[in-house]
Amino acid sequence: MKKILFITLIVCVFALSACNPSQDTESGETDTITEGETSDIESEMEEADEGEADEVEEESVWDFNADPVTISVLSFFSTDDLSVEQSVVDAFAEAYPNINVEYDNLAFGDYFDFLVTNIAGGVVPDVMAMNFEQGARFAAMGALEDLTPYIEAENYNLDKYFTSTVDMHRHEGIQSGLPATFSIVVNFINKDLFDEAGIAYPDETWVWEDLIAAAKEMTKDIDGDGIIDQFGYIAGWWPNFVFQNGAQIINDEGRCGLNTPEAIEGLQIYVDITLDSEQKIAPDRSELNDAGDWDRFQGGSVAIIPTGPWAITPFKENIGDSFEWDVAPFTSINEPSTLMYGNSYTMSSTSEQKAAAWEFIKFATGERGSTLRQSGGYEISPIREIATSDFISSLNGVPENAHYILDATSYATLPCAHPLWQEMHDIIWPELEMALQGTKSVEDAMSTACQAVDALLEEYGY
Amino acid sequence: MRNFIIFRKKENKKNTSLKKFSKSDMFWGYSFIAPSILSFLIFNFIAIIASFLISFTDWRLIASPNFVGLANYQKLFTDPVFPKAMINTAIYTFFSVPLGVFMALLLAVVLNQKIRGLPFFRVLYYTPAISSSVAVAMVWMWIYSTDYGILNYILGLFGISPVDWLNNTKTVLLAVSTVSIWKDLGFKIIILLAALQDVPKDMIEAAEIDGAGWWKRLTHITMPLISPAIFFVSVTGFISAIQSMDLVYNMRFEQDGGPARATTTMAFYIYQVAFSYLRMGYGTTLAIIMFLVILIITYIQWHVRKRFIYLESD
Repeated sequence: MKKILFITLIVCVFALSACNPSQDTESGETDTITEGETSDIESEMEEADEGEADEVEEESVWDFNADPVTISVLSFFSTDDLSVEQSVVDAFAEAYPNINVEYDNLAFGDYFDFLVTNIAGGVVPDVMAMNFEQGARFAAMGALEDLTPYIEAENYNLDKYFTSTVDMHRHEGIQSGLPATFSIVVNFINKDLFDEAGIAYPDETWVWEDLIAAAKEMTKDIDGDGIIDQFGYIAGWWPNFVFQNGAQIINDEGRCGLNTPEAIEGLQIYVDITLDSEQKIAPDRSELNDAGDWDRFQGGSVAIIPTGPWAITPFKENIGDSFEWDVAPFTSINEPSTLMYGNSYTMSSTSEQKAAAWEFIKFATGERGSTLRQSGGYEISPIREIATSDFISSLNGVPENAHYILDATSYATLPCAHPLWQEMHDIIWPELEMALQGTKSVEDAMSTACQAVDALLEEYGY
Repeated sequence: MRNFIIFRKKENKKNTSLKKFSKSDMFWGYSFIAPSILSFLIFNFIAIIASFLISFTDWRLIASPNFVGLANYQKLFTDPVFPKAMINTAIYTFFSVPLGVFMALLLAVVLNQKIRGLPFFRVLYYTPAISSSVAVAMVWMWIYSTDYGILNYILGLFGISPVDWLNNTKTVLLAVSTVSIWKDLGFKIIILLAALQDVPKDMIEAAEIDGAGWWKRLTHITMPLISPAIFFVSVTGFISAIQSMDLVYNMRFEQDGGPARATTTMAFYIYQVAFSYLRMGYGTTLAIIMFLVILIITYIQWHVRKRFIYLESD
């Protein structure tokens, strides 16, 4: 039965795709940001602190007397509180009376499946929210309009954004979108556990050894049943262990960089701090299966968890008054590094209302849209001025040291944004999982993974 | 029918062959089967043909497809995940189906006795079959949990140290197929029970009078008479086990067919290739391989049935 349903689905999308005009996937020379590149945000941040605010209103070429048009907008922003992104859409509808917006919001987990099926069926939203990783893939498939001509035609001011938040949405020479939000991974700490252990809260001066020592102190089997109940640390997403030891997933030659000594050393630390009983400070894969990382932190049994500003609202709601928590800088193994992510609004290359879609993208990623989104506490605005003023004030003092999040922009790196990233990840991760279970050495795992990744890259001409 | 005949007689005057046909019994017969034939043609047959055609393209859903010949079929020989998925599916199927049929048979025989509270037990055994597989997965994930699971707790009482059932590459696939046995048991029991109740009482009694013991009666009368039902649950069991996807998908937090690809079954891999990597061409190629595997296994079963099934003639 499942097979029948599956095949039915395939044939449906196949039949419908015939109505979809063919798309030209040829692209110019590559101009993507390579992962591992340090962002230039901090200097800009300081600039914004001192400098004058840029002029808010852009010169619009939209004809407000034209016949009304309708555009469809699909987004995954602020699914925790739908009213946030809705307020951006409502404000746009008010400002542009002759553009009707059919707006839909989907949870991130379902978003891209839904989008792909719709694109295949020829029902493409005019404006789509995109994260920079998926943007690379959709751009490579020719689904996204290059916004460069629109920007040039109006001389649209991109200086108001942090440069790297704009650049991270440039894929294979295409400016696929304008930045709507970005976020960055820092450490969130349980202050009560630090107080209890008599350890000072982490700050910029902390190095990896400090983190290990403190986390070791706070990793405990409280009730003595042989099961560790309290962990000092949570080992975050694996690419971070590659970057913070100065290695790359895809090297400058565009091939797998995980078999270098630096990458292996970084990942070995990931294995050791979860698996090795002597060095253990973080739950291993099976312990995380029993209770997830956020659940453990929110339950008060984790001292340090690396995660991003998207955690602030859920943490506020779920932790409440049960313990004191705060933000601290991300402590790296070797080279200061942490992961930075970004989302944008993009335009469909097959849209029939490109002018209106462009107006929406400008508005939703511009000062008005960004301010509304920021006041809802969804991630961080890529507009310098708003990030430095509104982001911190929107938090109402919790977490107290939220400025560490903005400070982290000085050492942030972009994770992998290759069009084949999903497939590469699914090659690398099963190998790494064997290392994390102790059934394979990191070196063997990464050498097997790299062979397969390189074969994949060659197969599709990268 | 009488009405149709009367109707036909009235209209009999103008006689073209089409009209004649439209008034015939055959016309009405075809009309009655048309809905299911049409839905088969539209939703199954055309779909099967289309996926066969798609398997010769590089279609990625978004851009238009290009013809690539046998490239997708060649990829089967170089793709390291494909043999792994085949082996996983084979382990899953050959573990869960024979054991599942055997247990269902055992329970059906027990439930066919005159014991107290029979309806209660029947409901009990059928409940998993109608439960949502997501709910089933959640419950069993708790049962299998390393530190807090009831299974490891019970094993602990016998001094067995905790096993990380769902995160160990050696145990995870059998752990998941055990759940599928449990979940599908109800359906199999219902079919077998119905067959058991169709076994004529007089035959059993006659054998009893002739001095056949309980075991003899079971193996020489009951089993042969319900063998078509056993055949049915085996064939459907094999087909659904080979296509299984829901439990391997839902019983892992990551929903990644892991750990380390240990639960990547064919159906899961097809899903991943087609909808996660957007490689419809290769995805349908894998689907066609799965189709052929099921076809071959069912064909073999169909042919060996004559040797084992009573009252079958071909």
